[in-house]
Amino acid sequence: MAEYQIRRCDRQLEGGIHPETHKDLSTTEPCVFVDDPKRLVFPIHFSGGGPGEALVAVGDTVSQGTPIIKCQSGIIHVASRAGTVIDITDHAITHPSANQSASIIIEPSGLKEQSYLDPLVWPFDADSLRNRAIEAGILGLGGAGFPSFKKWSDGTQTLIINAAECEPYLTADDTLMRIDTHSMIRGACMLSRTLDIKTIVIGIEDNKPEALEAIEDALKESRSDCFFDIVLLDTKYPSGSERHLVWLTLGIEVPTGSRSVELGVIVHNPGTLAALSRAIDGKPITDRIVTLTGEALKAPKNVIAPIGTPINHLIEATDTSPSSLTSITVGGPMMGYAVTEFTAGITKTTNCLLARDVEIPPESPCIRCGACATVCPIRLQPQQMVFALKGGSLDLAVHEGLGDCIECAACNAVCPSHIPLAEWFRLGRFEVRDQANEQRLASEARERFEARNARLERIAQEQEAKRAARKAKTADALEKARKAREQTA
Amino acid sequence: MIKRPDYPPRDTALVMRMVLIALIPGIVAMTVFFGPGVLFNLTAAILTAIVSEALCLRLRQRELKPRLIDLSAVLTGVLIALALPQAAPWWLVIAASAASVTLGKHLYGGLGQNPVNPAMLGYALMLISAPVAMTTLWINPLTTPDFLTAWSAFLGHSSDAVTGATTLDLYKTEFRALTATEASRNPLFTQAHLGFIYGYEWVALAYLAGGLWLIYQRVITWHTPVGLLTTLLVISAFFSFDPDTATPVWVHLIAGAGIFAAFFILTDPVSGATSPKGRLWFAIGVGILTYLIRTHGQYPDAIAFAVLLMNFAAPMIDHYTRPRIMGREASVKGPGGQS
Amino acid sequence: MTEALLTVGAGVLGLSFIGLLGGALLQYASKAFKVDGNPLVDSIDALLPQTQCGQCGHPGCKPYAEAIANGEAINRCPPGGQETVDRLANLLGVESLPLDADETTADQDLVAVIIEEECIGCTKCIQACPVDAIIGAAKLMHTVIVDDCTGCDLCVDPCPVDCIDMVPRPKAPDYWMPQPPNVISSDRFGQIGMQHG
Repeated sequence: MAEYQIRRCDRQLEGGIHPETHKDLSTTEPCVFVDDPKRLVFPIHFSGGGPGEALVAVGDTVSQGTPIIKCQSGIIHVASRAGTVIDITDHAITHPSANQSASIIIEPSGLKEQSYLDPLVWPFDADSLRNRAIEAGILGLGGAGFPSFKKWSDGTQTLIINAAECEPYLTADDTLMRIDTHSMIRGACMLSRTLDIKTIVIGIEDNKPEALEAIEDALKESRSDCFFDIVLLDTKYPSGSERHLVWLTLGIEVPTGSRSVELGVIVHNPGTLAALSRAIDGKPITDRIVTLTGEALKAPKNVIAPIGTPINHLIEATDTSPSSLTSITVGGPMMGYAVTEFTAGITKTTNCLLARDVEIPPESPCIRCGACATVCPIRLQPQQMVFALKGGSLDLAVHEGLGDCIECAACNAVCPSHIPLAEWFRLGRFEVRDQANEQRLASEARERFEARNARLERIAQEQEAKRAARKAKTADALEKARKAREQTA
Repeated sequence: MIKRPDYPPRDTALVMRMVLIALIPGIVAMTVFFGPGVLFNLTAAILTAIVSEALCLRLRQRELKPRLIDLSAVLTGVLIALALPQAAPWWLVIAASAASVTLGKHLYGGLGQNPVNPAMLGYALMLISAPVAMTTLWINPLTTPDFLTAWSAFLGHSSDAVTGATTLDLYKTEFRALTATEASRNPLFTQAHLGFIYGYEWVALAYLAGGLWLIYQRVITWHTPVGLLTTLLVISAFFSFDPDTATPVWVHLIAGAGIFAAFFILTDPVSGATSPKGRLWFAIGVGILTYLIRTHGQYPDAIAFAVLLMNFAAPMIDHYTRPRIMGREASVKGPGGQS
Repeated sequence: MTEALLTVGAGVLGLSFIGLLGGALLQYASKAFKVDGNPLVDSIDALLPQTQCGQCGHPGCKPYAEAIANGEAINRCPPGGQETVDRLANLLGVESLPLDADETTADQDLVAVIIEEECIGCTKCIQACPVDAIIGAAKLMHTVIVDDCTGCDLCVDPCPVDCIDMVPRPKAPDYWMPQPPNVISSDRFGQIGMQHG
C-alpha cells in the first residue's frame, strides 16, 4: 500500500467564480466506446507539438499505432486505427483559428492490425522515458497540448496531478479517474521513480467524491514508495489553472515569466499520466476520453473515441442530429472555442464537446463596476486592459499586466455589460507575441547589419594596410637596387 | 443557510434595478417624515431624466431602447430627486434632473463615459445657480406637510411654517451662539425616537438597510461606505473636544446626506475609483473634503462638492492602488504608456 | 541715494549668486549624469524596422535614426508603415505625418527568393545584401536565408539575370491570429465602431 494523506486545502483562491457546474449531465451515463467512424482526420500542423510533416503518403496502408505525423518538437502522432490514407488535403480542423489546414485523412479498415512499440522494461532512465513519450505522442491532454517530455527535467521535486477539472460541464478527467485510476497512478509512479520525485500531489476539487474514492482504492493496492498528498480543493473556477494549483497545493507563487517547471514542480493532467503508463507498455495514444455534453445533446455522456474522429460522428453518438446544431464548443464553456465545421476531427487536446444554446446579449458600454477585477484570479484590472486594447494601445495593456493574464474568462462571466474581455486579452497576447517576434527579428537584422559594416570596414582597412605595406616594400626594394647599383658603379 | 450571491448580477439593467430596489426603504422613510413632496420630486425628476436621456440619445444618433431599458437614467433621476430639498419647486427639480443627464452624462459620451457623478453635478449646479431655494426649502420633519401644502410648495408657493434649513445648516447658523446643552433642547433632538434626530434617524436607518442589502448582493463593496462613514466619524469625533462649537458626530453622520451618499452616491462605479483599495481611498478623500467644506466652507452640506472633487482624482487613485499581480514582487504603480 | 545703491547692489549680488549656483549645479549635473552615446538615436533606431533598405535615402536604419535626431522628417520609412511613423511621433512628441510612400510599397512584409535554376553565381546580390542574408560562392548557386531576409529589395536590381523575386513572407504553418471581437467603441448600437489597431 502506498502512503497517502487526504487534506483539505488551507488556502483560498482569491477571485474566481462559482459557475453552475452541470457536471452530472454527463456523469450519470457510463462511459462507452464509440463505433469507429468512416474516416479519421489528423491535422498535420495542429495536432499538438508544433507544425509537423506527414510520414505517410496517399494510398499507404497503416496499422493502429503507425507513425503518421512528426512534429517540430519531435512528437510523433500515430494512426489511431488501422486503415488506408485516402487523402492529404486541406481540411476543417478542431482549432480556434477556424481555418482549414493540411490534414491526413484515413479510412479505417475495421481490422485489428496493431503496430505498437516494444514495452519499456524497468530499470530505464529519464532519457528513455522522454524518448518513449515522444514516440508515443504524449502531450498535455488537459487542453494545452504542451509536449510532456519537455517538463521532465532533473531536479524536479514534486509532481502535481491536476485533477481539479474546474471547468463547468467537463467530466473527462473525472471519468478517467474513475475507470482508469490504476493507469494514472502507475504513470505517476513510473514518472516519479524515473525522475526521483518523492512527493506526488493530487489536487482534486471536492465535487468528485467517486474519483477520490477510486484513487484511494488504487493507492491501497499500489506498491509505490512515493508519498501521495491528496489535496481537496474548494470547487471554484479556476482552481485548476496551473499557477493556481501550484499555489493552492504547495503555497508556491510562480513568478511572472517563469513556469512551475523551473521551480521543480511539474503539473500533469490525469489523462497524460494514464497515457504515459500505456506508452511504457508500448501503446501510443490512439484514443481519449471525450465529454459529450450540453443541454442541446439528447444523451450526454463520456465516450472513448479514436483521435481524429469527426465531431459529427460524436454528436450522432449522443442520439443527436448534427444538423440540429449550428456550432459546438470545444472545451468548456469558460475557455472553450466554437467550431462550426463538424467534419473536423478531434485531437489529443479535445476534452469536451459542448452543445448548448446560449445567446450572448449585445455588448454595452463598460460602467467600470470592477466585477472583473474582483473575480480576476491573477488580480489584474481587466477593465483597464480592455480599455487600452480597444484604444489600440498594446503598451498600456502590457503595463497593466496583459502578459500575466491566464485567459480564464472569469471576467467574461461576470461582466454586466457583456464585454468579451477574454477574447480581447487573447488577441492582445497574440499581438504582443507577434510584436516581440518582429522586434527580435529587427534586432537580429541590426546586429547583422552592424557586423557587416564592421567587416567591410575591416576589410577596407586591411586592404589599405596591405597596399601601404606593398608600397613600402617596393620602395624598399627600389632603394636596395639603387644602393646596389651605386655600389657596383 | 442562505447563500450569498457569488458575483454581481450579470446585467447592467439588473444592477440598476437592484439599486433602485435598495432605495425604496429610504424613499418610504423620506415620504413619511418629509411629506409627499418627496414623491412629487421623484416623479418630476424621473420623467425629466427619461425625456432628457431620450433626447440626448436621439441627438447623438444612438439607439434609444437599450439605453432606456437599462434604467440608468431613471436611477440618476431618483438620486437627484432624493438629494434635492423636499419642498423644492418643480422648475428646480426639472432643471436639476435635466442638467444631471445632459451635462453630467451625455456631454461626455453617455453611459460609462461620465468623469463625474451626474446626480452630484446636477446638485452642485443647482446649489450654485439657486442657492436660496437649495438651502431654505428643506422640510422640518416635525412639521411634515400634508398633501396640499406639499403640492403648493412643488408649484413654487412654499410656506415658511414647514420649511427651513437642514439640521446641519442650523449648526452653522442658529446653534452657533448656543451651548451644546442648549442646542440639544431643540425639539428635533428631544422628540427623537432613537435619541438622535427626529425623522432623519429613520431615513438614515432605511438607507443603511438598503445599502447593506446591496453589499450583501455584491452590487457594491463595503469599502466605499466604510471609508466615508469612518472618516466622517473619526474626524468629527477628533474635533468635537469643544462640544459648544463643534457639530456633534452623529449630526455629521445622520443629518446630512452622509449615509445616502455613502451607499448610493459614492458607489457610482463609472466616476469613482475601481479597485477595492482605491474605493477606500476615494471614500476617505470624500470624507475629509466633506468635513472641511461643512465646517469651514460656505455650504451647509458638502458631499456633492467633495464627490465631484474626488471624481477627478479617481483615475489617479486607480493608478496607485492596483493590487499586486499574482507572481509579481510588487504592484504596478502609476500610469503606463508613452503618452 | 546710498540706500538705493545698496538695494540695487544687493539685488545684483543676490541674483548673480543664484545664477552662479544654478550654473554650478548644471555643470555638476552634466558631469554626474552624463550618458554615453546619443540615447535619442538609439531609441529612434529601436523603433525602425531594421530592414536596412535605404528607401529613406540613408544607408541603413541607424543613419536615418541619426538624421531624424537631427530634425529630418519622420515619415520616410515605408517598411515601417504608418505605425512606425506614429510611434516615432509619440517618442519625439511631434505631430504624426502621413507616410511618404506609395500605397503599394508600404506595409508589405516581403522576402527575397532566388530562383535557383537561373542563378549564375555572380555574387552581386551577396554584396548588395545589407544584412548578410544571402549565402553562396562565386559561380555557385546562391540562396536567401528567409528568416534573416528583411525584405529590403536591394538585391533585386544588381542581379544581372533577374532571378530574384520578392514574395510575401511565408508564415509558420501553425501560425494563427484570433479574430478581433466586434468593437463597440461607445454605446453606438448597431454600428461597428472603429477598426482595431
